[in-house]
Amino acid sequence: MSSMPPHLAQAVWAALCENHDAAWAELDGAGRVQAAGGAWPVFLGRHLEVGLAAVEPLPWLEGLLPAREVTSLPALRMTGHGPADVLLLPHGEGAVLVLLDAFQKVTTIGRLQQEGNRLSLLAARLTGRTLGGALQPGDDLVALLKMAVLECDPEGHCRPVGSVAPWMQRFLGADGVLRPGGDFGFLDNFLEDAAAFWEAGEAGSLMSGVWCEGAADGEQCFEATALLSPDGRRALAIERIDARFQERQRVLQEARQAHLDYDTLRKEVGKKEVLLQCLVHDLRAPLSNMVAVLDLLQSPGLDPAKAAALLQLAGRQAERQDAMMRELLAIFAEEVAALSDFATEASGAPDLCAVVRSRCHERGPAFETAGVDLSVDLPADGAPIPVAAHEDRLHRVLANLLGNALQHAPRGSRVEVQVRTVPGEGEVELSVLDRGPGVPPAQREHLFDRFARGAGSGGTVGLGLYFCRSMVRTWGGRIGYRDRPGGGAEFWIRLRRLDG
Amino acid sequence: MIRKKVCLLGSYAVGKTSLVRRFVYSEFSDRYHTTVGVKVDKKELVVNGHELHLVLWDLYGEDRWQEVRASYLRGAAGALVVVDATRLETLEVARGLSERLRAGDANAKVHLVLNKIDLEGEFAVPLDEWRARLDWAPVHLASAKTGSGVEEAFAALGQDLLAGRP
Repeated sequence: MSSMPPHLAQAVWAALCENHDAAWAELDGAGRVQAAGGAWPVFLGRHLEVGLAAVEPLPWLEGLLPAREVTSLPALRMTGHGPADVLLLPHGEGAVLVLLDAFQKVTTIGRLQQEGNRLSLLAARLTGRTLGGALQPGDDLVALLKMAVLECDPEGHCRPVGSVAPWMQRFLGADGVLRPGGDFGFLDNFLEDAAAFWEAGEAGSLMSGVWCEGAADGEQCFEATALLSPDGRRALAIERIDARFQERQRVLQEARQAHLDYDTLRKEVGKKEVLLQCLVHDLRAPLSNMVAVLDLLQSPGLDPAKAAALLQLAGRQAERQDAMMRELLAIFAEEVAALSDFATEASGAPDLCAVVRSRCHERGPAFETAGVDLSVDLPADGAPIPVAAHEDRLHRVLANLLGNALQHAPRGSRVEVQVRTVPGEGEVELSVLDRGPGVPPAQREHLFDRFARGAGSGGTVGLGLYFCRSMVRTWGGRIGYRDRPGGGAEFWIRLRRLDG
Repeated sequence: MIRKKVCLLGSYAVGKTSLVRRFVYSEFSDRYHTTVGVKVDKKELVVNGHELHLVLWDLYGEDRWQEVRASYLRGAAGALVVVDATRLETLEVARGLSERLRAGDANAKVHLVLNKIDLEGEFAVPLDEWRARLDWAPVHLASAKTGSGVEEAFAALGQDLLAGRP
């Protein structure tokens, strides 16, 4: 065998040091360190110093150095560090010590060995042989592992070897034999695969994958393994894997949940982008109108009456924009503000009837302009009804419900505002009813969600009803929608009465 | 008694297990609980006067972490292939699984379930477009959450499984 050219050997060594945590040390005839390099600090470098004897921190070198032979010690466990492959080469009067990190290799081998041991245990159980010459696996050990081992004949009939755990009974017939029954159960399906595996006569095992079935005390999960013993006997091992199953499920669940969360966030960001465009559009529209009005006002020889009308129009646009901005600001402010700021006792609580009268009076002209009649129906006794609410925000809730009704009510129809006490429940119900098209069933679930924009929303951003729900819930009340008999919509809120 | 194996197939988190739970136990949980391996349940139906015993194989959702084994589909007389109406990416998984089922048995009956129809506001595409895209098998609109359309989907598949019987 020809030796590697020095330049190539150098390159290979450099790559080893860089990629594999390799290290070297040159020792003299007395075993003292003359020089060291590579990843030496990782491999106990802190214990080895140039000029000192290497055998002190590395006692296993004793006996090896005087022998002056090429020595290989694979996967040597070193104190304070993981396993390393050790190579000792005689060199001149002394030696060269080479260390290669073996952590990855040992871990992999360990895992394979563990799996091999498990299969050996099953095979030993089947054949009654000793395991490793030291351990005779008995029923207790197999039972502890929640396993059952069956021996199968060429017809696929499998009989338990040793005692049968109670959970295993579900798979056995009255005669204690597991046999393919054509009932489309999971194990039945796997026995077909197992039969093909046994027929092939190849060494190794075939695993079924996990399956779960309902049981009286909950769900039980299993995994089956088909095995072929060295003497050609067919074995089936069934394992209860509840704990391992839960661990596997937890890991997979976390991975998938993270993926779902990511998707949800991505969609949410998309929605926000659309919303932002809507907001810009909504806020820009009145501004454009105002700019147009200002242009018109500069027209030469403008009729004073027309100028006054234009100014009024500009004022309305400004008010519209102001209202939109206030609505937005209110939403965000409400979310961060302390939500406990509302009346909880009769004294100082808003009177629902007074709020209704006041708000409807203020909105009257808008309804009149739109050709919609607005009627108010309050309890006949005219007594105040103090409710758990914040007065200003209650005004805004009602304003939103009225604005919503006005938007959908056809010209010539009537919008009704009703206040009714709810007998026996200490609540009062406020309803706003219109004769518009109502809310289609598909939109009802999300009607009060933020940014919900139903048909005919007229370019609004969909915050009004969200604000109403947010406030009413804060006060411990409820809000809802129902179809109005005879056609139209009815939005209602229920609030706690504070007058006992 | 006629016994048939029916698989529930689809991407992860489309609601396969929820549909089975709704159909078999009349239960629903909002919490997502991923399926590892296969869950086997049973349900009896009466279809055209025949007692039909369905062995329901609720298979784990297919994705980058788990691929459905072909041997699990063996012997299936039919399948409900489930699509999540809020996730367009579940469509291609459903198409692929339908093809794999039919590659194993060309006579296997495939019915599609467009699940989560209660979340109309969050549909990935409008319902008409969903219908147009789900064009390779009968489609059933369902919600495991509300129970809407669930019995009907299983019953329709049951009818199909017994088609031709007197």
